[in-house]
Amino acid sequence: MSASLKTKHVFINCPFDAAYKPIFDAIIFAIYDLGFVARCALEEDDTSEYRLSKIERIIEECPLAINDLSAVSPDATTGLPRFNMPLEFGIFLGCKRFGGKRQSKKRCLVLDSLPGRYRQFISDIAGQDIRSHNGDPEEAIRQVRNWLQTTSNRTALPGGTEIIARNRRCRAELPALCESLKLRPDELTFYDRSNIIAAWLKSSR
Amino acid sequence: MAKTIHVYHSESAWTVNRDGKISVFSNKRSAVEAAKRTAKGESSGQLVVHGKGGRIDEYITYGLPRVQTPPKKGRFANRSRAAELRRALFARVVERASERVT
Repeated sequence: MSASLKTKHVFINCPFDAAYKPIFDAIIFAIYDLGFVARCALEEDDTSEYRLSKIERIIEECPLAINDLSAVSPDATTGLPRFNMPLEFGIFLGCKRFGGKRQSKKRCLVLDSLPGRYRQFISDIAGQDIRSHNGDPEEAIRQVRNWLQTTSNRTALPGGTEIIARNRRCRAELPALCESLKLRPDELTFYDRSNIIAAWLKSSR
Repeated sequence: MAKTIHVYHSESAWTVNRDGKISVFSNKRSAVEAAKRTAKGESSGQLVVHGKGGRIDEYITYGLPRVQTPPKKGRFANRSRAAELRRALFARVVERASERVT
């Protein structure tokens, strides 16, 4: 293990499909509004880097992680569950357990769609910080905010309601902003969205 | 709710804009000083001093976490695109202020 731990970086381990996007976007917004940096496997660095190597590097660099297991359910076509999220969650736990003194301070939040659902498919994680968002992006913001406050021990963090109100305003202004930048909101990459959110927050709190 | 106070140059004067409430000053220094005094009276918020051309000269937060800058990658890693983004956001700031005034 050699990558440096970036104190304010939060790894988001979640599905990247259209159905989950509102929750993913809400989590990115909350992370920036709370003064942290969002990281995920969608980062486009060196294309020659293997996907799993890239994920391992990001996990190694992030002291914090949000693992959303809500999409672990049988696929309508294949009948099989998607296991990328539990795999990456396992890598995070392994890094924390076997990565040495600095990595042992890692903290993570586990999100699921319903309370207690995880017991039916990954019961060994009982005892971790597991919360549910019920498929609601605004509930995901509240859960992320409360967890980051507890984990970071910071007192001056905005409340969930305040972050939700700003997220609504940002979403309402995004189409006009994208138009003036000659971009389409649905074509924004992870980095584009992160940059727009951070810049918007600096100008609009 | 936290408020952002903006200081920017407009029509040959320096404007302090707090949520659509506007004060005008003849020079940047007095505008920034007045904005800082107002900001210190708030429990939380931030102060953004825009330079001419839309760049951010100063960014101070009060009782709020400081917004981190994402890794300089992707479309906005390019300086001119980053400047475009700042100008677009600055245009929104002025637009919001005028919406509140009218």
